[in-house]
Amino acid sequence: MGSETNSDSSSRPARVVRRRLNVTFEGTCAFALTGWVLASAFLTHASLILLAFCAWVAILIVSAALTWTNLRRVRATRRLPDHAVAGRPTRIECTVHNDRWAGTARAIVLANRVQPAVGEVPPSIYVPAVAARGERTERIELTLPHRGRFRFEPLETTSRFPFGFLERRLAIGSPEELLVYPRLGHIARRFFEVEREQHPHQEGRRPDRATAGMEYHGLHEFRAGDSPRWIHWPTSARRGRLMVKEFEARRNRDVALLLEPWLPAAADDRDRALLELAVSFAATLCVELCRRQGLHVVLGIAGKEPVLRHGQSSVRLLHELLEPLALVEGTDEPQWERLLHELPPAWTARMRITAISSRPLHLASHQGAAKAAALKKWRRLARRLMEVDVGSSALRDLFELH
Amino acid sequence: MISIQLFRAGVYASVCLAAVGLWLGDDSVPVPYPWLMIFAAIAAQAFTDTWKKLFIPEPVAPWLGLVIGAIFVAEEFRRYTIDVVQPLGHLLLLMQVLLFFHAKNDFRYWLLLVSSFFQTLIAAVHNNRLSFGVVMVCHLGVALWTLSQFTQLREASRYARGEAAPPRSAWPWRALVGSSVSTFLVLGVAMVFFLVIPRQPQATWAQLQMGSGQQHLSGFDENIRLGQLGTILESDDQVMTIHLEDERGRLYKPSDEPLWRGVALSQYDRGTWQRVTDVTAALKLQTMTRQASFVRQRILLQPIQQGVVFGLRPAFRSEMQNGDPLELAATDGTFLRPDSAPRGQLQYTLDSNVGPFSDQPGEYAPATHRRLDVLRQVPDEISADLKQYVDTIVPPQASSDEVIRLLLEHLRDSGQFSYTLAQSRSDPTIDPVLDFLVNRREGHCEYFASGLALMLRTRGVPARVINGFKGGDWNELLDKFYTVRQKHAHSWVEAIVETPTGSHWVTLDPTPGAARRQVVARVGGTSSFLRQWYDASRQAWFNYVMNYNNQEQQRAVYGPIRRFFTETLAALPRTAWRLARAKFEHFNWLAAWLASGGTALVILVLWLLTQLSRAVSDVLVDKGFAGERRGLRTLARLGTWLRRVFARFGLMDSPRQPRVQFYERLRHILESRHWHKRPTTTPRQFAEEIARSLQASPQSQPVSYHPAGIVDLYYRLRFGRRPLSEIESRLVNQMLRSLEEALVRR
Repeated sequence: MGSETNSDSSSRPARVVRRRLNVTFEGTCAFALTGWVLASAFLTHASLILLAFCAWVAILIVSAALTWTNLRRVRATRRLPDHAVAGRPTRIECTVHNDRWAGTARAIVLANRVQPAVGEVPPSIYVPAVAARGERTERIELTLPHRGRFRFEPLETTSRFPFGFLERRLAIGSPEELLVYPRLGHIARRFFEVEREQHPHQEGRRPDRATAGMEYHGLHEFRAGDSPRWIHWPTSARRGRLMVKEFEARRNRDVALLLEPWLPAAADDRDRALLELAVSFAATLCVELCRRQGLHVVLGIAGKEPVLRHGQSSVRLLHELLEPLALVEGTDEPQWERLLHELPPAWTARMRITAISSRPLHLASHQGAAKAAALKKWRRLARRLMEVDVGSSALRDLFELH
Repeated sequence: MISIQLFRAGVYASVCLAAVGLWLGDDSVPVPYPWLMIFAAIAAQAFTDTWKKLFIPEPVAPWLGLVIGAIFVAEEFRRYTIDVVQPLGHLLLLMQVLLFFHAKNDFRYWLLLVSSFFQTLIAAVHNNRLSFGVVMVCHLGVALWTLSQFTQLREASRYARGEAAPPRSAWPWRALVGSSVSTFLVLGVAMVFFLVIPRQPQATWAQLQMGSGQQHLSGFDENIRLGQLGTILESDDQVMTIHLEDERGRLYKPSDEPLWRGVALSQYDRGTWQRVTDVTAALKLQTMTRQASFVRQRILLQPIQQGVVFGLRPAFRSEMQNGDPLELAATDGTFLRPDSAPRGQLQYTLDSNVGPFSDQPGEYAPATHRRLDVLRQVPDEISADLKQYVDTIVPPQASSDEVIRLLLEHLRDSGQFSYTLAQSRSDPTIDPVLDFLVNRREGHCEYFASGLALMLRTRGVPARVINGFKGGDWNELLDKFYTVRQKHAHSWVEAIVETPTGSHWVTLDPTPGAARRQVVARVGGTSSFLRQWYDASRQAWFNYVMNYNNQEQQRAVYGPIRRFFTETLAALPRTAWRLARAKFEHFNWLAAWLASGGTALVILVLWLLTQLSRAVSDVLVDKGFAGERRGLRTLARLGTWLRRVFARFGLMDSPRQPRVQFYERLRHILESRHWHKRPTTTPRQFAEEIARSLQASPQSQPVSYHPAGIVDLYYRLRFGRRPLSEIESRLVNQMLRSLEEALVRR
């Protein structure tokens, strides 16, 4: 019936205010019926028919007023998780607050409109009633099918109460975004054995525990979570505040994952599926590596714009690695040279490198790289490289998507 | 909470109430089919819906419906040749019963509800009773409650995640209260609409009369056997309601019981009175001679089979609900229903003069009455006996005035005659009037009137018997009106008297009044209080619903509104002048003005001001239409100020703080990174804090001063009311975007 969008004239609207009163199918029938009764009343001049018409008009007016009032001073809030994983259920929490001092809000539907769309109908939650000055929280589990950035439009509050003839829609708030990480899978132990076999110079190293395998790096101020064991008391006494020793993993624990998001110009579904498989494989590998302690993990993506992330294995690093993986786009011009240029020589000299792609790579004979200025570095890297072609049948036994 | 069982019960109740409504206006079917519907509904609720034992098989149902429907339609349309609407109602009943025993789904529930609505419409065509109005209101209430439950059930099942709709067993008291409130709201709004929808002046809004529904009033035909009136004197049925006003439109209540004149009977022969008719002597009762003071009667006459209508004599103007006047029989002054009158109930206004004589304008003058000899005629077989009897009462040389007085006193005040409704005769061989006068000396009004008329005639005084109604039940509620019932039927006499100014008709009532009143009071046993309420409701139903037309609308709605505004606005300058000159000592005049409608006017003006200030504040300020235009900005300021003033007194919400969207967006971006502004921090301080944090990281260092820049613009817009230019807007957007990207990278 009407719509209203509140936006600041001086800038593009970020906060959306939409109020609409729509006529439902039943409402359209009711309007038609009312018109018919009116026509009958004026043709017959029968008072009771006219009264019936007035009753219908009154029902429609009262219906509009009550439908409008039902959502008056009702607001809905949504809590999205910080991130989600494709293919796994994500729990979204929606709360309806009824700020009225009297009058229960009834039959409220909260619709989560997502871009790109998930299914034909937006995931919705039905809230039967919210008492005055009360709130009610409902949760919905949503499975986002693929990685990427999903835009959640402002939570849409809808109600057809009381008679279902009219529907009031209310969407107030700002759109939110949810970053969906790539679909994760399971990597068999065999893969890591194969990896070790590919890097013979790493063999025989004892797995480090605590600071074994770590090098003293410096001092930093005590932070929550630091072990009291590593407090350097003399310095602490001298400075008047707690200082702890900082260690750095040994370079022989460096692991690099290089992903080539290859997608041919005329890509078909299989190519896209393979790209997704490669990204998922890289993401799963990141998860596995970040679970281990003391690793220095490097992720390089040879996309249109090369991306390089690195850090000590931790949950925080994991998120930093999964974020570019969630957003990576396929390309038929992978920028290996630029990626290589950004890799410090110290890393390439020592780290174990796994290159992942959806096609056979043969990086050692890479023509483009051979012409590059960093020819020597490239050759050194190629010697320490394990290539994984996710399209090959060998990987099927080693990696399985959830 | 919602209960599917209760919802189903609501659907069934709605259907059954519609069936009751249909039955109330259905004279053709003696079977009380609402009971059958209720029985079917209970059976369906138990066997089909709850125990799931009894179903009409899905493949069979359409064919079964078709066959039964065809037989039914053929039978019904054979019986109803004129009224084809009623069989449709019966057909809907049949369809509903078939649906009762189906597995239910949303569509079938809709069918049941919609068909019950159509049944109510069909019933509305055939009904005009107050009881139908009650059924209609009940149906509306139940249907609204059911509809509300239906909406909630459908929404619950539509968005149910995995499980079915959640029916719960708790009694939905709150929903019931809510629906009752909705019903009253709907009724209120519907009545307001009904009362104010303009009616065309000449259009008749009434009831379609599909059935006859007319009552026969014994004693008001062309030929009346003596004693016939006595049969309706024991009936309590309502004949008409009469509201009286004087010439200034004020309520008029006569000191004595008024006589509502009906049929005039002039010719007597062997116990039968006969009306002398002359179809050529009918004229329109319209704009005849009037006097300075008169009584206006607004009469609602129930459907009767006779053509006579009732009212005070002498009447000079009449108007029916369709604007046409009544007819007057010039021979005997009887008021008649013209052919143009609507069928069924008749609503008319009759203006009657008040005076000592009852000469009816338009009727043949008494002195030159064409049938004067008829009015002096006494049957030969009783003439001698009657003359002998009269001679014992009236001296032979008495004047006509004296004759009238003595005979009237003899019958009414002598105590020799008593009033009774018992019908008996002492000597069946003689004329019943003579038997009454000589032997029985008891009877009802018809005997008294006949006795007087015939005795007057023996002395040459022209006289006739009038059958009509006397008095009625005075109702103090609502409009204050008379309810005239059959038991108020009465007979009296009109005679011609000679006066110095000429011949005149006078009305003579020889019946002992006190005895009659006692007998009338005994008929009908309902307590007067309940009776008054019932009559008042019935009167309201007919006046404001069934026969509500342009005339009534002008009187009840538009007239008072027009008068209110005219009078109050006319009094406004005078009041303002007094207020200006007031010494603030005596405020009686102000109180009087406020009491006489000024309060309503003040409230109306205040309300208009609140709405205006809200609109001005919303449109000009919030939506920024005022811009830089000085006039609009002044208006916007005035609107906001007014709104603030009204908000202080709790009359409306406070004006909204203008929301600066780009600042909101900045806050949102920062909050997504867990930078929340503390309430004690100003936006500028907050921006400085953010800038320090952003400088710590190389990725975000380039954008570290963006928040401060945005906040500066926010201050300018929010407090300086200086809107951003196009370039500035674009710049702000760029800053926000780069800040967002930098924070994502960080």
